[in-house]
Amino acid sequence: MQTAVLRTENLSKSFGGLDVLSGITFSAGENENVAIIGPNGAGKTTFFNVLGGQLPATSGRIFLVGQEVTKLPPDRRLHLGLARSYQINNLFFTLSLLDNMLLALYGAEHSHLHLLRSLYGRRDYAEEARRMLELMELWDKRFEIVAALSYGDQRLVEIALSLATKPKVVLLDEPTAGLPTSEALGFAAKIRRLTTDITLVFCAHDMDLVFNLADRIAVLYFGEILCEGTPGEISCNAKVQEIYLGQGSKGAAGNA
Amino acid sequence: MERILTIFLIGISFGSILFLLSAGLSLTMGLMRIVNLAHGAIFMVGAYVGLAVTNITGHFTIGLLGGAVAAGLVGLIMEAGFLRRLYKQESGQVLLTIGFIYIIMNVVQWIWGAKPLSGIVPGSLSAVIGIGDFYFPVFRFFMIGFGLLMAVLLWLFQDKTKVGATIRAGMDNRQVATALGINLKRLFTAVFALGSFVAGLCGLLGAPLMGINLQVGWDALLLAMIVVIVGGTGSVQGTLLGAMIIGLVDAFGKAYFPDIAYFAIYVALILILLFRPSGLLGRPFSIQKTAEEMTQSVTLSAKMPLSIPAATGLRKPGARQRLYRLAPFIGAACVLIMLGPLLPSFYLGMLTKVLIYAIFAISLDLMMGYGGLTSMGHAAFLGVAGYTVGILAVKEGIGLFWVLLPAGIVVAALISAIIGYICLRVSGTYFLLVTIAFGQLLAIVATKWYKVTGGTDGLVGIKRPDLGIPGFNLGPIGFYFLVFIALVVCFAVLYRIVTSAYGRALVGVRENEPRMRSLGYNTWRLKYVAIIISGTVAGVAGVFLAYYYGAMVPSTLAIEMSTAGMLMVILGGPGTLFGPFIGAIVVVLGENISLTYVPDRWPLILGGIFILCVMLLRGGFAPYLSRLYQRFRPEPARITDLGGVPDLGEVPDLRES
Ligand SMILES: Nc1ncnc2c1ncn2[C@@H]1O[C@H](COP(=O)(O)OP(=O)(O)OP(=O)(O)O)[C@@H](O)[C@H]1O
Ligand SMILES: [Mg+2]
Repeated sequence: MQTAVLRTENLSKSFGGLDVLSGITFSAGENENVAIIGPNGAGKTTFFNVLGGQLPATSGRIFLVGQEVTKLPPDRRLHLGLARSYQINNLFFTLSLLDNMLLALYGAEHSHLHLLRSLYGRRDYAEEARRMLELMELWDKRFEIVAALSYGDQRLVEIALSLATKPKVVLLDEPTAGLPTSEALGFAAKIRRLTTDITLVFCAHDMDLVFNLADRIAVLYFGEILCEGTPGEISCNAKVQEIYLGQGSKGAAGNA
Repeated sequence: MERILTIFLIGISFGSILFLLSAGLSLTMGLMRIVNLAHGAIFMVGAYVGLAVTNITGHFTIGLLGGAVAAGLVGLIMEAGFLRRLYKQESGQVLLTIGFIYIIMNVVQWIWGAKPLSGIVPGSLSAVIGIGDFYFPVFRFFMIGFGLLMAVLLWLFQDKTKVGATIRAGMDNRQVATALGINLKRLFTAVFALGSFVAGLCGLLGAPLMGINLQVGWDALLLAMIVVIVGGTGSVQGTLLGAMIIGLVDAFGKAYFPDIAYFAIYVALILILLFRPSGLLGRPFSIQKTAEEMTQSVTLSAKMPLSIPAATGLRKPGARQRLYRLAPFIGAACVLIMLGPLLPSFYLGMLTKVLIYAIFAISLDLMMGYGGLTSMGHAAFLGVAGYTVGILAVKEGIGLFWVLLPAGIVVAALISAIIGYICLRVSGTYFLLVTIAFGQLLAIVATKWYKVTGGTDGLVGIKRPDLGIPGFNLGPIGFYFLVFIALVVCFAVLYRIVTSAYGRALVGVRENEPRMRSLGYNTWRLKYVAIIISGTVAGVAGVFLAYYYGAMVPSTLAIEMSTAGMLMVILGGPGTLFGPFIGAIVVVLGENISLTYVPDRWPLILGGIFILCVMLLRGGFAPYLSRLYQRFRPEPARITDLGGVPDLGEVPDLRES
């Protein structure tokens, strides 16, 4: 097996007495696109929060390119190459789109002294911001404040912020959440364009997106990985069909 | 043994009063997340009205109730009329309630005068009982009994009725609660009024311990706040525990370490902050905001950002653009330079004061407007720098400006590094509360450390700066220009900082700290650096203020000084540097005018301005002024060949954010 870029060992998280994640052992290899699916409340967002460092793990360990990061704060994890996006847009709403992008790019800086130059003075960052905004077809809107963008555009920005620093691994929490199905497809193509050469771990209810992007699928059910496999294997898996079809096709309908 | 028992009882009785005082604050803060800094002033209303009613009716019990009803009414008006519209906007609530403090205190002064009144102990409770060799007033037992009774009642109310759970559910999800048929608005108002009622109830009861005077409004706030931080918000048990601990610490401190007793409760506070920042029994005080609420301007700054010019194809602003941007500053500088020799000395003095306050206000703005770190203790940094100058000049006889200025600045930087470290143990509203405590702590140090600081008399006789140039004596005009240069330097430094990537990152922290962390920023360090820079620049203002008055008194460190700075920032426009400068002009001139025409009503006007700013003028004057100025924006020149330079369009102006 190739080296795992992101790996967890027996990762658990509980809130008070409620075990939301119990003993998750999971890994994602280089350049792999892994989808995590599971019904509402399965613990997908919590898993991402623990991976990203937004919530502390109750027990278990997390490794990023071989290095243990379980106890590191989110900013240190980012510097080691782990970035994430959020299920609910989590942006700098009152700042311009360009500023949002530049803030994400400067996030890669370790030192505060670097930060003392003019925001727009870094040529490499300016070029990168332009490249990404053009890729997202948002260049023309760069001076608009993010709150003024359409929801779909905000959704794109949400993802672009997490990709700006060229992370090794990116965690996308329901990237198409809240988008109408008609938009979601074009969105998948944009994500694909933006995430080449990156290990992508994402979760989604939208099966079109999952089968469009994923090389491998892991099914999370009540805080445990129920099964893992290629899209083909998972779609034939009896247990998965039971979860998704047996309880009504709630999940497959692409709700968010 | 008996001595210890007596001290213990003294502590417990004080603790009971503290509990009654703090219960409302803890309730509204923990459950409803309403930050009511006027809580101490409401307590004060209870005391004054209670005393008046007792004197009229001759019944202590009726007096207690009268005070409580009056306090409850004030709470009712505040919540239903104002706070209700500032749901989940802590910064707005903070500023609004500061406004109410000023108004309430000034009205109380209007009615009852500035002289302290003395509390009363009803005849039936005025006996004392002996404990060994010590005497203990029965009234204190009454306090203890009453406090415990109220604790039980409040606990039943909060935990055994569904009120607590309902409010909590309502906070998390208004729609659900409303759908369940609960009238949240009315419930919130009722609970808020109840908290005020309880505080008012103990106004008269606690008068023998707290006194009935105008200072009580601040003192009570400070004590309540320390109790709430130590105990943790949101639970009756936590508040009770915090109150008892503070009561006992105070009593034992006064008995065994009388010299430093004033600091005992602050030591307790600092220890809690360092080792258990969420309080002993606290639920963490944090507000999860939805994306929608975040866009609805959680911050102090203007809701509508300035329209940023459309892309033009220019990477760097052209000469005309640069002139356009600099023109207001050059203009202002020219006016200030010309006014120097022209103004008569009285007005020159006033203008000098404006400039000093402007340095103070822009320094606070870095933290508050850009970093979202609302501080109510900023005067501490100004004050320590001023005191450093005062002590060195008056006690050590050092006159050289080039020694005193750096000394003041360095001390301000050091103190801000220490205070900032402790304050950053907590965030949001707690941060604000802790900054109040530190400001007040330093004011107490200045009052009590007589040998060094001159106590309440302060340090008098600081001469005008000696620049060390032989044969040259700095006159009022020279001093004015010195201050002017200091302002220009401070402005330029801060300007550079806020337009840097660091400045933008600071705004990012203000807007959305969790996301900044996910993006790789050590947000703690960003904030810490902001506090230190901010405190250092405030130190510059402090040095000049010491020279300006020729004296340093403890009030320069105190809360009123800090709130004056806050007002300049919010009035002018937080998150802009020129806004607070305008705010400083308005506030200093306003104070002078009001002192000429309505000498006693300035706090009332001040409070009114606070409330107006919060309710109507969000973002201050600045956005209006810049929108006006943008009409004069020149057409940018177009350059077609960019020569491979990354084209960002015309670089937007970062001064305002
Ligand atoms: N901070 C918290 N405190 C208590 N329980 C929580 C917390 N966060 C999540 N949970 C619980 O953990 C469970 C998993 O939630 P999570 O948000 O991870 O699910 P999810 O798989 O992302 O669901 P969805 O598909 O709806 O986004 C839920 O039952 C939720 O109520
Ligand atoms: Mg989720």
